[in-house]
Amino acid sequence: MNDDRELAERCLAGRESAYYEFVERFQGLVFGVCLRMVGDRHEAEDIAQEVLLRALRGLKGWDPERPIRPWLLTITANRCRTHLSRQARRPIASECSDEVVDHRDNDDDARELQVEIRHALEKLRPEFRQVFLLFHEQGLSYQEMSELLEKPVGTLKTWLHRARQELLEHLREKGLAPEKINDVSKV
Amino acid sequence: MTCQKFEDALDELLASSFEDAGVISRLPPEMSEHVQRCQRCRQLCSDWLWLHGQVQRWPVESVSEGFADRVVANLHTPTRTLKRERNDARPAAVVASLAAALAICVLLTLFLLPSDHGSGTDNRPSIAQSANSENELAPVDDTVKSLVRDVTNALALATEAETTDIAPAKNDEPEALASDADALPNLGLGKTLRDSTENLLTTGKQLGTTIQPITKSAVGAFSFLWPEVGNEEKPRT
Repeated sequence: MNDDRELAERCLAGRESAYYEFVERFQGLVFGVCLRMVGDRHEAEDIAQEVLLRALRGLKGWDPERPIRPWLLTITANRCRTHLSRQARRPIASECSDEVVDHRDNDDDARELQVEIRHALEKLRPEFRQVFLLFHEQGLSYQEMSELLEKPVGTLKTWLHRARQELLEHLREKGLAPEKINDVSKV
Repeated sequence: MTCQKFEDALDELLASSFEDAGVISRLPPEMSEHVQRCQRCRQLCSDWLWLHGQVQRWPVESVSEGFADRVVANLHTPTRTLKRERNDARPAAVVASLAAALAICVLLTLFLLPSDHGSGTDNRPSIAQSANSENELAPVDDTVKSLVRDVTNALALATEAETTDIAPAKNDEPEALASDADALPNLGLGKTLRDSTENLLTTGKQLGTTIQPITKSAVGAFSFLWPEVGNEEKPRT
């Protein structure tokens, strides 16, 4: 965090090299979220570019006492939401799923599973998808997501629960998720 | 531990970089105990950990070459340029909306506000307008009068025919006798026709009396549709 603060200070000082460092440090994070949210590589890159531009221009508004990552994710989430609401009626292109490369497990089953998870993810409601990605991929807590998305924690819990359920149902229909345990009872 | 508390605790574990899918054996004792006796939460735990593990395997997506260069280059571009590109469609929409609103206002003004042909703020039709309205209605009156005249003539003819039929035959010719025999049905027809005509005239008069004020008001209210009517009476300068 101190490193991020120091980088932000150099950016605020107007050093060109700091701008490059800032973009290179966070481009993976921002682009990853954008790509999973909008599903199109070119659009995701445009949004990521806009997010990083806004972040660099708005660094004065960032509270140095707080981590920069959630702040960046807030901007990213807002831009993605705006983009998705503009294109609400346009089907999401699943471009990223053609380029899935599992570096740790290259067999066909793992690849098929990754593709199916992304397809299932694209079918989710945007808010479910966003919460699922922020939680499972970015590791944000409910409290952080609540501040970021300006939603109550209870709502986010419901959204995440439904996102998981829908994803698992989709994968079970394809025979890719673990089978359900019979005789499930609640305590 | 309840199922709800177990779910919350599991979420907390996942949020704290809990990446190992085979971690069930390392769950905190309280959670582990709950899982042992609750199949639902065992299923939930298994599903969530599996899903979380799959997401953790996703590769890091990389941007295209020159991405950082483009961002930094755009950083030096004035913000307004970017905004203008994005908001190209907005001015046209605003102008169209304003034009539509203005058109609606003009139409409402024309239709709802009192006409200037009358006397100031008085909404009632002026004398000139009334006179002209009557002139406008003159053809209608002529038609009604013509109709009444025709009916009256028909009534007179029928009465005359009836009188002729009732009168005793002045000769003993067979045709005259036959005519006397046919007089009875003719008598009934003439009376019916006379009664009907009288009823028609009475109804027409009553209807005319009722409609006249309504007609005048309607003509006055819609006088803006034929402004030249009201202007005809005014002296031209």
